[in-house]
This record gives sequence, structure tokens and C-alpha cells, in this order.
Amino acid sequence: MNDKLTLLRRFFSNKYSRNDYFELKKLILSKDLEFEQLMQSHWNEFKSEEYCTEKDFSELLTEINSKIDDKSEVRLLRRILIAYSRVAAILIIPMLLAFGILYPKFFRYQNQKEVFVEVTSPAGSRTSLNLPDGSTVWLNGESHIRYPVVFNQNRVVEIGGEAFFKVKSDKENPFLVEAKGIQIKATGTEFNVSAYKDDDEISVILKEGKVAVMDANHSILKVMESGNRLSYFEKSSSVQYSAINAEDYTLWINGKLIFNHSPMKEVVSRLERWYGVNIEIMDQELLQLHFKATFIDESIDEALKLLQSTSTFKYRFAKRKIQEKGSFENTKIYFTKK
Amino acid sequence: MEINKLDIDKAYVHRLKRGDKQAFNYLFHYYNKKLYFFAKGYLKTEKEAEEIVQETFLKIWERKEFLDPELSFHAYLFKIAFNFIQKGLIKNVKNDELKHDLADELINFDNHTSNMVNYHFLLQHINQIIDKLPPRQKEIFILRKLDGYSAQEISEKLSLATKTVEAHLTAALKFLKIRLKSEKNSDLLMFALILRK
Repeated sequence: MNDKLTLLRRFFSNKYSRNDYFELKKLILSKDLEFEQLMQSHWNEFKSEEYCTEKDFSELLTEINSKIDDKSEVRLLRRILIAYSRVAAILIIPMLLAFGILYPKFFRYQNQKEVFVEVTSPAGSRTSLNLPDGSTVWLNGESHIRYPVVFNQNRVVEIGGEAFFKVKSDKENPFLVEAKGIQIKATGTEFNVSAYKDDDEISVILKEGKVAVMDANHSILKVMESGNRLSYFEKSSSVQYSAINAEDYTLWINGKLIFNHSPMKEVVSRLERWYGVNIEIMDQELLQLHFKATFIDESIDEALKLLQSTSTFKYRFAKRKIQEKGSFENTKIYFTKK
Repeated sequence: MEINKLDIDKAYVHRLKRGDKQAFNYLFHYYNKKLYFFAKGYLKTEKEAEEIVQETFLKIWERKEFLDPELSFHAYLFKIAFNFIQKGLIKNVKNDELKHDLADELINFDNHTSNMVNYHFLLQHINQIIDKLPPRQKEIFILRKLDGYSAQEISEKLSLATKTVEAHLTAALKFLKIRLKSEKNSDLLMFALILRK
């Protein structure tokens, strides 16, 4: 990575070789996400104080300001036109329809408000859905996604919880996922995001393709390669990046619950989200335990039986209490030392 | 010092978000020089650098309602500018293809020349020698080798016989190759061209 950064610096200072040029050309034309990250590093270190010029920058500002004024005039004109067209709507609806078919852009400007869809997958269930651009997303338990009905200029969605994306390829229009504290940019890939409000850690698992992960400031944290996992701890702003078997983390979309040397805390929150139950750990020692298991179609009871059989904890179901309105509260389970 | 700057920025971004023109002007004055020289380094011309500054700040103004004062304006500025700079780079790279083909035709690039010689300097040098061509040859040479016109199109454009055009081209190429070869042997020139990596 550092090599490529010095390549940029050499090009910048006009001290580059022919090989340098063609390497840079490849980087530029491939629209590689890495290129943005490199240039961003350069931007952060670049000091313009050493440069002098007789240039009058205030002229530039004047031009910008006059352009701004021009645009607001046009907007006013457009508003007048729209108001006028509404009044005469009954008479010219057929004409407007034809206009809308021939010049769809005209009508897009009228729709300043975007309509959003919000889909929630409650604890104990998994949902999959198609997005307006043909991409698919799977939501795990206790997760949600929010997206506009129509992707206008860019594809931006917002999620909470855990989601697996199969993004339809479109290099001109990157796909952006916003989750608490981070933003993920992808062009055509398969990746998993886990960003639960209650978790300290946000993780991104890249199954295929390439994605760029950015923090809340939109500074690039990492451009990921497939087969890797990125863990981001928002509180300490620390990042961990390691190679993994992507399948272990993404088979949940096929109904497989996989624990791979997972600590008790993780097992509990995942079981809660997967089955829609409430688990309380009665002995703090139990938090030291780790588990390895794969569950396919097991009920909560079967799963717990299997987990405790090779471990030093036991569980019991609490009596289901009927709440005021006649409904039952979530199944509650207690974990205790054996 | 750094922390202070971020707080100052935050205050101005707050105001800018509400449409305060003065805050916009302040942020422009503080950041435009860095953006200008940064863009110029990549796009190489004053005109393109100016365009980047204009397009970037214009877009920032247009999207001011979406500003988040908690986030770094410096980083946001880059994010907006990057898209424009990237477009400019792609355009330049595509437009310059003939220039590099010509360099390849005039100079035998071996491992050494491809790696160690200052290519930017070399291209400038080629331009200087082209400048020394007799006017007719120069005109025809540039139309053919840098603008990409065919010999046929040039003959039509300048009302000359195709044979004449071709003769001029051959003469020009010969002139350039000889010039470059003789200079290549000059140690002084080579020294100037060597990159210190």
C-alpha cells in the first residue's frame, strides 16, 4: 500500500517513470476503491503552505457565488412553473403524462421528498427481500433495513442488526450501507454486516468482491479483500482485520446457526436473536466458557441440550407469565453452573 | 492547536448548514488553496484545478442541509472533491493515449529507460523538439500523431496531396528520431533525466 502511495507522490511531483505512469493509469481506470483510500492518505499529509502563486483566489469565490445565485433563480422559475401546471392540471393532464413519458427528468425534480421503506425482522426470525436495484438482502433476528422506494442517483440503505447483502454490480453507482458508526461502499459483492446497538463490536465479513469500510467521518478504515473479516470497536476506534472462512459467518441465511469457539456472551446474544428468547446468566463464571456447534433446524430446547451436554452449565425454562393484556412475554431461560 | 481548529470549523459548518454565506466564504478562504494545489498536482493545469475548486465548493453549498457539523470538514471536502478529481484524471488519461504511443515510437524503451528515466521530463523534452520542426512539418505531425487525424483527413483539411502529407510526416519523424538519438548519447542530458527514487 505504501508503495502505491509513493507512486501517487511521484506522479504528483512530476518525478515518475514510464512504468510508474502506466501503473497509475491502470489504478485510475479500474476505479479501484483503493485509489480513493490512497489519495485520501495523500490529502491528509499534503501541506500546501510550500506552494506560492500570484493567483487571486477571491476571483474564484466571486464566480462561485454568482453561480450559486444563478441556480437559485432557476429554482424559483421552476417552482412557478410547477404551481402553474397544477392549477391547469385538469386541462393538461394528458399533456403532462406525455411529457412525463418523454421527459422523465422533468418530473423527478418535482419529487423532492423521498419515500422510504422500512423492513424489520424481529428476534426469532429471518427475512430476505429484494431491493429496488435487484440486490438481495437477508436480515437476521432483531434487525431492520431502511431504503428508498426508488434508488435515484445513488443506492443508499441504512441497517441495524445483522444483514447479508448480495449487491448487484454497477460500477457507476456504488452501493452504500450505513450502520451505526460505519459506512460500507461496494460495487458488486457479497458481504455480511453485524452492527447491533447492544454490541461493542461492529463486524464486516466479505465473502466476494471488494468493499471499502469507512468510519463516521467517512474516512476509509480499510479496503477489504474477500475472505476477510473486519472488526471495528467504535469506542476505541480500533480496527482488527483477519482472514477467515466467510461461510462460517454467512450460512445463517440458509438457516444454519454456527458457533466457532464463540464466548458465552456472544452465544447468549445470538441465541436470543435467533430464537427470540430471553437468556439470563446467573453465574458470572459461565462467561469464561466457549462453544463450538452448528445448528440446522434445531429448536431452542434441542440446541440448549446439545450445548450444555459438553459444557459446565445447565439451563432451565422459567414459567411463562401471562401479561396484562393476555399475551405471553418472551420465553425466559436461566443459565446456571452445573 | 489541532483541536482548536476542529472546533472553529464546527462552528462555521453549523452556520453554513443554515445558509450563512459568510461562513461559506470563510471556509472557502481557509481551504481553497490546499484544494487548488492538490487538484493541480493531479490534473496538472491551472484551469482544471480551478474547475475542481469551483465544482467542489458549489456542490458543498448545494448539499449544505446534509452537512454534519460533528464530522471533519476537511475529510468531507476531500470526499466531494475526489469524485471530480477522479473524473478529471480519467479524462486526461484517455486523452493522452496518443502522446504515449508517440513516445514509444520515438524512443526505444528498455528496462532501464522504463524504470529510471523521468518520464514527465522526457515527454516535455519531446514536446520541445517537436517545437523545433519546420512549421509545415510541425503542423502536419501534430495533427497526425497527437490529434489522431488520418493522413487522408489531413490532406483534405490542408488541401494538400496525400503524398505530400506523408512526405512531411516521414521527414518529421526522421528529424525527431535523429535529434533524440544524438541527445541520448549526451551524458549531461541523461544525468538530468535520471530519477532519484
